[in-house]
Parts: sequence; structure tokens; C-alpha cells
Amino acid sequence: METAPMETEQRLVKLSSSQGDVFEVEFGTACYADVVKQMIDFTSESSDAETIPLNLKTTVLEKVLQYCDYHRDNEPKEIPKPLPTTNLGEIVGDWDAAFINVDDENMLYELILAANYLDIKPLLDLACAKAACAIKHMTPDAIREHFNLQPEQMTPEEEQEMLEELKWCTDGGAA
Amino acid sequence: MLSKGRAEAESGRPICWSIHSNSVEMSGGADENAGKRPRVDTYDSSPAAAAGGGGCSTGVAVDGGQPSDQGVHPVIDWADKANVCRLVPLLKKIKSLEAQTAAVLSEVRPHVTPTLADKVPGLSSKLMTVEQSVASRHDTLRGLIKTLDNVAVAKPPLPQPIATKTLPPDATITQLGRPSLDGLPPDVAHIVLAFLPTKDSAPLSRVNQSMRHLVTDDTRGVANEEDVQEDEEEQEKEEDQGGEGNDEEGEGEDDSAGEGAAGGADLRRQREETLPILKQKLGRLRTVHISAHWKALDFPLECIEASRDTVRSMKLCEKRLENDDEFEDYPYSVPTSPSTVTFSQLEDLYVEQWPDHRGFRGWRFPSLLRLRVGGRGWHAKDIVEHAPKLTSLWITDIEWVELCPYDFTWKLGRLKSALDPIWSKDSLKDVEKRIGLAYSNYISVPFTNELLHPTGRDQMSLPAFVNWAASVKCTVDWSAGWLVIDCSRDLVISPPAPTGPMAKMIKDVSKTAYKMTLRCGGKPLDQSWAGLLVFTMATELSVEGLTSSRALSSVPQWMAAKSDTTGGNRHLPNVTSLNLHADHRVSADAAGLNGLGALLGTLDRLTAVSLACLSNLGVAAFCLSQLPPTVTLESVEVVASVCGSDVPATSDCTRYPHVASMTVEVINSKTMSGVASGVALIAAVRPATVCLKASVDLSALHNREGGESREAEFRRGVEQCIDQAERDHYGLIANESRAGDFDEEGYPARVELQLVRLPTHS
Repeated sequence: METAPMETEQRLVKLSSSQGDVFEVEFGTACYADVVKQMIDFTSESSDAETIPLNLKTTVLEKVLQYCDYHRDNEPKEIPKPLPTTNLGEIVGDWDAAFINVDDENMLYELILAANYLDIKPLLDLACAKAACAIKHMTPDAIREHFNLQPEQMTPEEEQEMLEELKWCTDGGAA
Repeated sequence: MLSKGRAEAESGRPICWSIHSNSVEMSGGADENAGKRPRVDTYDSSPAAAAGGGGCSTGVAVDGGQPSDQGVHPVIDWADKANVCRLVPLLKKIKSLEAQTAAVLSEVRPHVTPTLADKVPGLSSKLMTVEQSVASRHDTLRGLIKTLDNVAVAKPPLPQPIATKTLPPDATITQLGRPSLDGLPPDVAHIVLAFLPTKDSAPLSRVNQSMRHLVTDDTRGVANEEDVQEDEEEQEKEEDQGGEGNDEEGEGEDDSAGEGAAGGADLRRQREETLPILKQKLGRLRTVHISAHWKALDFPLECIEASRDTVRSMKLCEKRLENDDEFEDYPYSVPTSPSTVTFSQLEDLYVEQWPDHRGFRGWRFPSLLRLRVGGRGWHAKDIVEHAPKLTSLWITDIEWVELCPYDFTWKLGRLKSALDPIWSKDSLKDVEKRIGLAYSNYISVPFTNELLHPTGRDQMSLPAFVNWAASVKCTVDWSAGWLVIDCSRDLVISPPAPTGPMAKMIKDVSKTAYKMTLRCGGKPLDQSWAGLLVFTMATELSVEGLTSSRALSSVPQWMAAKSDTTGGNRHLPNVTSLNLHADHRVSADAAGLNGLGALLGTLDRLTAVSLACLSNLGVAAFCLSQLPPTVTLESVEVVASVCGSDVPATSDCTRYPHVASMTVEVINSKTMSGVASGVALIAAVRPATVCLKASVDLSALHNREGGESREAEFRRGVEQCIDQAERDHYGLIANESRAGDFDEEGYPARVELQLVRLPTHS
């Protein structure tokens, strides 16, 4: 009876990215993502060696697996809302801060989407907190420019109405 | 700001962590403030690290190391990081021992005179060999430690693709969403926004239409959640101070005062303009979380009351500052007849702390279903009286059960009188209700007479409260962190265990307690309690009141019952820590100790044992020998006032558990044989490392005329103890013994020896 969990732990699981790259990881790492665990439970009924397809790019899946591998034995810290500081290292620890320090913003947002898709709440929180740090203190114009977002065409009346509505939170006047 | 840090990984170069004992700046891939804080391990993506192989420089100057050390910065595997962390302090310890040896050797040299060296062939050269050997070992260790201090740790290997699966020709990569801020699914975007304070997230609605929808969303948008936190309190206080400054300073007295006055006027004007809009915006809150100092409560309360028809969930917490006076009267007055505010939609309310002056006067909760109240305020009655639909009540931090049974039974009476009119109504008569009561202090069984039969007006006994709850279809969930089994009362017969709802209560409390104390000295608890007292959560067991050998018989026999499935103790299956306080009058040969021994013999998960106030070390030896021999104890602490050497001789049939670390302290020993008994205990139990401490009353040692002084006798006694320990295959690591500062009276002499068990020779 006692050896059963050990056998499960040592079992290897194959996960494939949307680009066709196959990763072989330990069962415990794979099951850190609830969705993957459910998929494993489902597929193991039919075939033991089946590869589980995930709708994630290879680079994103690789990064997610790195997170799962580290945190399967290291409980991630809960991130307070709102963030008391933009220095994430003080909140989540050095490893997580370094992990989420991706230089490519697309990767950050891909990680958010991946964590949401795979139902990995700590990773979702970490990536969202990083995104929040990035946009904190940015003006709406700066955000538009940063993300290449197009403002909707508004009539002058609509714009005025919105500015009036937001007056309470923009230091006494429209920016 | 998103910063660099991934290039290395993608370019295939190794990314390294570095272990340092000092603070290190993150040399790349860090967030903007990372360099300002100390780090233990971090990415090191410096050029040397990026170059791969063995060159992973940390950027920390290595001072004082061997020239050969400075160029060596090996990269170790991630899996070995923990080993290095453990290895370094151990090597430092060995180095310290070498230093101690060298210090002793330096005292040797002056005694080797040229004449002595001439007469004893090889004395000088062999001593030199020893000295060189010590110095060499010390330097080697120093270099090794520096090298280990500077090793870089390879990043945990990224999972690598093991193969590429051929995709079906019609396969397409579907997008889960657009990887951008406004491309996130609404639920996810709200998580991002939740990390920002309201004042930062609200302006985002000006970015574009989709962001505006997210920010002002009726369900989860910022205007539907009021979260007043400390920084906003500060802002409010600053504004208040600005206003006060304006009132106090004379007009144009100096420039700064003038600016302050102008600033205060600006702030007031700004406030006057924006507050009505803000109140309007915050007049339809759905969830509220207030965690603020009372000085910042006025405005949030206005918003809450304005949201009376929309708010569904509310958490209120008054924060106290460190320098707040505990008994400070709130310097604002609450209207004696506040207007009635009816929260028509509020279903959940959690009150952690709340100003007593403010209370909840005037508030009505017609839809409130669930209420959670912190114990200090005890506002439950004020709320439940106006909550006709309430079915769930949870009260935490109850402190009064032992400290003041009168207060506790009075609170129960108030609670019942508040809830009874509501719960006995026809509309709620058949509805299942629930009350949770959590004690922050301990509660003891059997219950005291004050809890069972209170005599004061408005008081209600525990059984009466429990019976009332059952009569109104209310389940009461009891919990306590600490439960005391009181067997200290000298009763003729032990009261049998209660039945019915009271039995359930005791079961609940036992199930939740993480600590159990067995108080001895009187009649053991009746067998009928065995079915109720199962401490599944308890990890700590204390046994107190062993004031006499008779008191040992207080340990109920049924507590030593074993589980049929695990073989461990049925009532205390998860106890890892044992604290036993005996009394000087309890001896190892007391027959009653066997009752305690039976209990100890079933504690198969112990890792820490503390045995205090023993009359002799024989009791400690006995208690340890009664533990299951299979347990592995990480620490054992023994404190005894020893009158003589009472450790029984080790017999082949005596088995002790494995002990990693043991501290033996002998208090106020009159003879050195008391200390020797500590060594005997160590030799019997054979822990891996030992700290032996003793205080010896020198005045009790003989100051023989013409013989050695008390101090000399003390030192000789210590030497004998060390000698005995070494014969028992223990090595001395440190000797901090001292004979004391005064000859006749004053501080007692102290023995303090650090010993380590040596490998036994075959």
C-alpha cells in the first residue's frame, strides 16, 4: 500500500506543446496544474503512454513546467491585494521574482493566459501581479502607447462626460 | 517595468544562481529594486556566467582568500545547492576547532625550552609537524569555505523537449486570447486590476472602451469594491493635517506656512469638489472591506451607508496603531440617536474589530444570513438583534472561559437572549442554523462549577446554552487551540463524561485542539471520557502537576490505549512534542510512574521531549527508556535538581530511542557527582550531540586545609567529567565552564560542556 504513491510520483508524463514539441516530466510536476491532472486521470484510463496535448507554445510550456517543477516542493507565497510595493521580490521571494522577470511582455501575457488555461492559481497571481506592477503609475496615454492600443473614437460630449465621471480619481481634474 | 532576463535562457547559455552570505546586486534580469535588498540566491547573468562552463563570477570581491581561490568559481548542480548550504557551516565549525587547537599549541611552545628540546629527541620537530599540520588544515578549510561561498548554482534544468510530434496537417494553433492588457479575458484582467489600489486602477478606464468596461464593470469593477488600506489612510491624514495647519498658522507668517495654508485650502477645495462625485460613485458598492484607523472611518462609513441598497458583503476591521493608547477614548461623538440605515441586500458580515463607541447603532440587517465576529468587540448581540434572517454566526477569539467564567456565561446569556427571539419565530423555527465559537485561550474538562452552574443574573450555563441551541435547530461548532484535561482535583469519584449535545461539544473541542495538557494531582478522569477525548490535531502534549508519586496515578489508564490500525496512541495519534514537568519529590522507582510509562510507550511520533523539574536524572532515564525505541528524537532537554548520581546502570534490556541533540542541565548541585550523573545519563542515552550544563554550589564543596581549594576541586571534577565522557566515546568540542566570580557567596560555578559522540571503533 505504501509504495503506491511512490510509483505514481516516479511516473513520467508526456506533454506536447501546440507546436508539437513533446516534454517528458515527472508526474508531480505535471499534476501541479489541475487541468493536466484531470487530463492525465482521463487519458490514463485509456492508454498509459499517451501524450497529452496542450494548447501552449513550446517556450511558454517550458516556462510553465519550470514553475511547476520548482513549486511542487516549495509552497508559493500568497500575494496581497492590493500590492503593498512594486518590488515583487519583497513579496514573493527571489526565485519567483527572478522567474517572472521576463524581458518579453508577450511572454508575460502568454504566461497569464497559460496559467489561467491550466488553472495554476499561484502562477496566475504572480504573473498578474507582475503585469499590475508594470502598469502602475502609467498614465492612460502611456498605457495606450506601450500596448499599441487604439482609443475608441468618442464624440467630444462623450469624452467630456467620461472626464467628469473620473474627476474624483484624477487629482481634481482631467489629465 | 518589464526587464531583461530571458535572453540567456533562449540563447542556450546557462543562467546561474549564486550563493553569497553577503548582499549581492542582481546583475541582470532583475526588477528595478532588486539590487537594494540582500539576496541569498539569485540569477547571475553576468558576462562570466553567460560565458558558460565554470566561469560564473558573482561580482563580489573575495577578500583574504588564497590566490588560487579567487579564480575558481565552479558551477554546481541545482540539486546540490542545499548540500552546499549545509556543508559551509560544518566546515566553519571544523575550522573553528582547528583554530582552537592552534591556540592551545601556541601555549605549548613557551614550555619547550632549548634544553628540553636537546634532551628529548624529536620534541621540537614533531611539535612543528603538528603545528604545520594544523595550520595547513586551517588554511585548506578557509580556502574551501571561500570557494563554496562563491560557487554559482546552475538554474534548475529546463524541461527539454524529448521529441517533436508530427502534427496532423489540419492542425492549427488556436489562440487563448490576445497577449496584451486589453486582450485578457475579463476574469483574468480583474485579477490584474485587483493588485492595484483603487486610485491606480480607476484611471485605466480612460485607456479605451474595453478597459473602461473592465474597470467600471458592475460585478467586479473598482467602483464596486471599496478597499480602504493604510496608504489611503495616510493620504487622508495628510489632508487632515493640511487643514489643521491652515487653522493654526497665522496668515503669511512665513513662506512655508503660507504654502501650507494654500495647500490646505487647495486640498479642501479639491475635496469639496470631488467628494460629492466620489460619494455618488461609491454609493453602489457591492463588496466592502474596510481596514482602517478610526480617524479614517468617517468617509468610508458615509460610502457604506450610501450603498445600503447594493452592498452584499462587508468586512470591517478597525486598525490600531502601535502608539495608540489602549484605553483611549475616541475623540469623536456618535449621535445618540443615529438615523436608521437599512442594508437591504447585505448577506455576509465579518467584523474583526470595531470601535466600541461607534458600535452598530442605527444599522439594520434584514437580509443578513452569515455573521462572523471577532471576540474582543462582542458586537454580535447588537447586530443579531437587527438581523431577522441570520442563520449562521461565528465568534472567534473567545478569551474568557478560564480567565473569567462569570464573563463567559454572561456572554452566553446575552447571545441567547439576542438570538432566541429571532430563531424561535415561526419563519426561522425549522431552518437549520449554525454558531461557531472558537476559544483563543484554553478550556478545560471537566468543566468547572462556575461554567456548569452560574448563579449570577443574565448568566447562562454551558449545558443550558447547548440545550437551547439544540432546541432551536442550531448546530454549534466549537473549537479551541488548547484543551486541558484536569485530573488535579481531589474528588471522591471522577464525574462521568456528559452525553448528548455536551458530548458533541467536547468532541469538537478535542478534535480541533493543537495542544493538550494533562494536569495531574487528583483523581484520574473516568473511563467514560475515553470516547470523547481524541486529539487528532494535537501535536503538543504537556504533563503537569506531578507533585508527588501519588499524583502519577492521575494519568488515566485509558489514555495509553493503542490504535488498532496504526499501533500508536489512539487519543494522541499525532503528538510530536512532549513537555513533562515533574516535581522534586517524584522518583524513578515510584510505582505510579508505570502509569505514565504506559502513556509514553504509545507516543510513536515524538520528535522533541522536554523533561523539567526532575529530582534526579534517573527519572529522565526512565521516561526516555519508556518511549517507543523506534522514535527518532531531534531534541531532548532535561533539567534536574540533582542530589546524587541516580542514573540507573544501563542494562541490556534498556532501549533508548535515537536522540540527535540533547541538553542536560543540572541546577544547583551540591556535589560534582551531580554533574557526573549528567555524563552517566549521556552515556546511557547516547545522543549524537550534547550540551551538558550545571550550576555547582562551591560553598558545599570542602575547602580542605592543606588540600586543594574549592575552585581546584571544581576544575578537577570538570576534568573528570570530560575524561569520563571521552571514555564513553564522546569528544569535547567546547568547554565554557567557569569557577564563578566570588569565593564564598555569589554566583555559583558553572559547567558547560559541548560534546559530540565519536564513531565507535570496531
